[in-house]
Amino acid sequence: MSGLHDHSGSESEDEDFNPQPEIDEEENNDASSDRPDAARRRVQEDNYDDEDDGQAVAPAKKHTNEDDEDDAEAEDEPDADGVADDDDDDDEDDDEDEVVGRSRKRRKRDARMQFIDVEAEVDDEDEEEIEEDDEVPDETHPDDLLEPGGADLDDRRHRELDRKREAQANMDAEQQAALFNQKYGHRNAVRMESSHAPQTLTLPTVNDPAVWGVKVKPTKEREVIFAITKRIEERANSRDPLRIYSAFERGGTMTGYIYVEADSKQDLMEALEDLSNVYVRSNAPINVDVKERPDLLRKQKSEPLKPGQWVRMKRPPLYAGDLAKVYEVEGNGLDVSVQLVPRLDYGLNEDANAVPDANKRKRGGFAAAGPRPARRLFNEADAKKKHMKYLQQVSSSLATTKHYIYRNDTYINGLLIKDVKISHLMTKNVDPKMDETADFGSVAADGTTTLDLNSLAATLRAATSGSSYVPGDNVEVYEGEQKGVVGTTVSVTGDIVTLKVTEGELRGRTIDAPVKTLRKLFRDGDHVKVIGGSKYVDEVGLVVRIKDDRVTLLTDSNQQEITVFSKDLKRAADSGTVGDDSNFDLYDLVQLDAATVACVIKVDRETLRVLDQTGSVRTVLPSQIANKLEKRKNAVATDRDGSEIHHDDTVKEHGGESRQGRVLYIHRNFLFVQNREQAENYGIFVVRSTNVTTMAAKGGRVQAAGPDLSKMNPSMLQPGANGSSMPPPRSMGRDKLIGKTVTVRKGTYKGLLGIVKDTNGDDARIELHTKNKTITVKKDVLAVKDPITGASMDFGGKFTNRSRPGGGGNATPSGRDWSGARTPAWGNSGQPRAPAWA
Amino acid sequence: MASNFVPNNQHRNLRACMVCSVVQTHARFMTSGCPNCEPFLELAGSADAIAECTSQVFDGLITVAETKKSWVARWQRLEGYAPGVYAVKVEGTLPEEVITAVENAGIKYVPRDGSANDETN
Repeated sequence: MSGLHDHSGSESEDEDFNPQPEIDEEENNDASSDRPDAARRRVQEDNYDDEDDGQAVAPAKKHTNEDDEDDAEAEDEPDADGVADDDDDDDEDDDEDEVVGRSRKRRKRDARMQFIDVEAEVDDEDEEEIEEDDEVPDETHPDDLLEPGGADLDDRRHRELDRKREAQANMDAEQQAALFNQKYGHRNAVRMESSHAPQTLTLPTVNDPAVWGVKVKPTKEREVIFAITKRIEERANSRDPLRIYSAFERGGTMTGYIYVEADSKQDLMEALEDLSNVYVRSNAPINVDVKERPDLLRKQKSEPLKPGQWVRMKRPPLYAGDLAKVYEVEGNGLDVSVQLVPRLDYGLNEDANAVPDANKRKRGGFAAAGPRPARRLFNEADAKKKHMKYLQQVSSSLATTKHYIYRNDTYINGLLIKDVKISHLMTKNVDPKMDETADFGSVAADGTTTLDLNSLAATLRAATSGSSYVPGDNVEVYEGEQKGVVGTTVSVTGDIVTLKVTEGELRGRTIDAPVKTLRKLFRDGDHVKVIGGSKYVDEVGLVVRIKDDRVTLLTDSNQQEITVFSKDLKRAADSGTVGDDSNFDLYDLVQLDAATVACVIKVDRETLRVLDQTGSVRTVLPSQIANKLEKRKNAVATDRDGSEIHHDDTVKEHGGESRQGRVLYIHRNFLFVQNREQAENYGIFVVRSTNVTTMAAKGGRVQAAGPDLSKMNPSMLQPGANGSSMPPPRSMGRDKLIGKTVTVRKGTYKGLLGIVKDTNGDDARIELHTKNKTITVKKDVLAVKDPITGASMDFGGKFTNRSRPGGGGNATPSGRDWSGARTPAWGNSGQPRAPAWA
Repeated sequence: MASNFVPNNQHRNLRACMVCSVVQTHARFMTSGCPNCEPFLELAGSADAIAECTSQVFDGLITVAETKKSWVARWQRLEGYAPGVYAVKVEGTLPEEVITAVENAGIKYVPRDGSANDETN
């Protein structure tokens, strides 16, 4: 026995702590029964070779003594023992520390020996000792080498330790726990809160209290929670504490409700009874199902802001709604500084807002009372004008950036740098407009290439919410696994677009793609219309250049190149329209200022082209127009011959280019005439009324020429006195016959009295006095009657005789309006005839 | 100030501790610090520490009467904490050294801003 080694060299560290006690002789008793176990353990030990597995080792070592006899069997048995690990464990638990290094080593050797069929191996001890040196290094232990020497002493010690360990092993769990606690407990003093199971393990079960949704007044949710807190505290130590476990609110997403944890509805009602802003009597609380409860407490990480990102200001009120760019982000993720286009009036309006604003300022901070100044980059010249003392220039190291401090605010490159809290900003749905971003970045000549545009595009893309994809659009997938696929949209459902692939291997297939990965595809030469996004909305044009998702097009209206995002375009069938809603329509007469009127000849997006009364074309803004002028219906001008000119008359220019057209407007002595066939100025031109002659004026141009003259000329009135009975045809603006009382001398209506209503060349329309009828007769059958004489008028004095019979009896002055140019000569002219009648 | 009740006019000054998500007024943090984390955060009397370790941006108020029995408290990892008012989500980032201090104290720091979302609903 002495030769037996006490330590198993293989148990390195464990050995130091747990020196393997020598096998007791007593344990030899177990030898026979434990033989198979021993073998098993041996095998197992080999497996645990390099591990400090005292347990595995222990039982094996226990049986060292047996090995002398057992080796033979051991060799045979190991093969069969691989299976029995479970049993080993059980045994090991009992026999933890009864390791004998010697035996282990020996078993090692023996295990190896299993492959060698050795008949008789009995004198192990000697062999062991001899073979010690051949042991695998990790098994060798310096002690092993010493063993033979101090074996006895070690044995005793080890035996003691062995006993101790056995005793320890036989302690029950509680005592062990206490031991461990003593050893390690102090570390966990504070740890009790975080049991830290993953959240999935804390899902609610039916054993948990129920959660009830209670209706409350919207916006008062936090108040209610605090009121409940107060009530919990008040009743905490009293006769009946509140029987709810917790209550929470998620105002914002779940506004109008609080959620209370209680076992039963009664507990809930009793707890919330008579709380203000809580509507528990009228609206029954809703029991929230177990599966839905975690959703109530869901929280999502909001995106952290990054420099260069676009946001919109919510506060301060002066800049509310304005686009801003994140400049810097503070460490805590709460404060950021942003770049803003300043809204400054550099002290121009100061005095006006002296006293009345005292009240407003007090409450609202430093809000600009009334309308706020326009957005403009910071201009130091303006600041110097009035506020020299507030201005201060900070020379930066670069000396190129314009860095000023004006009234305690910092302005770099014209942009205001403001420190705000994230809660004052809107980060979603920012939708920056092109003109808003123009001030922030340098826009190159073609309006496209800047970094800012890239970030802008990114923001826009991120914010796209189903940007108008119409069936029939050509789209391209540019992100994701289907990148490069080109197709035509079939339908759009929410954020998913169904498209039919037109090119490539997937041709003909129908695939779905989320809106975010799509981009509208256009080809050079497509006729497209801008449908949104930029200030060019409603422009129609031809695509000339495509780059990524930016498309340059040539507008139909003024052949101008504009660049927009492809998401803002759609295929357009219609031709160029500028459907802008300015107050002024085409061909309106507008007043530019007190002295000038003009006619609108073209309505542009933001401007108007007008032709003013001097004939010059100007481009004006709608704001420069004072007001629109309405047509005055009775506006009358006098043309070259003195005839009247009314609206819609056709006139012809006498001098100049002999332009002809229809009168649109009459303003003082200017006529705005339109000739649709003319291309210049869209067909409108201006003339002085005295330079035109009316052509198709109402009443006809060729008038029965000079009845006035001839009638006024007594000498001509004599029948036959004139050689030329036909006075020279004179153009009259308005037939003098109109309005005259006449009698019909020939024809069906002979003898009837009437008033000339209208004339048309040779014809006249007569409204009969007797009948409700207007007849058309030739002018030469008429005889004009004046109330006094019934004398003939038109066409010279020819009718004198003929009108006699009809003239005498019909001198009824019926109060009709007589021709205006009645001179006393009329009456006189009639006189000589009177006797003839009588 | 022994009560957790906060009158309406004080709602503006509420802050939430980024470690344990308790919600209190700034003044109360100044006088009594954080009821759960004071040993390692030491907020009482230090405006700087309060500015670093508490945040004004938080969402969803919970009042917990019994942190042991309430499922809500368990879900929000508030077991063992003092009863009071807590926030569902607290936005903001703790400085590195504070996180180390927390871990050294033995608490498993879980960010309260929703980034550690391991729910498998």
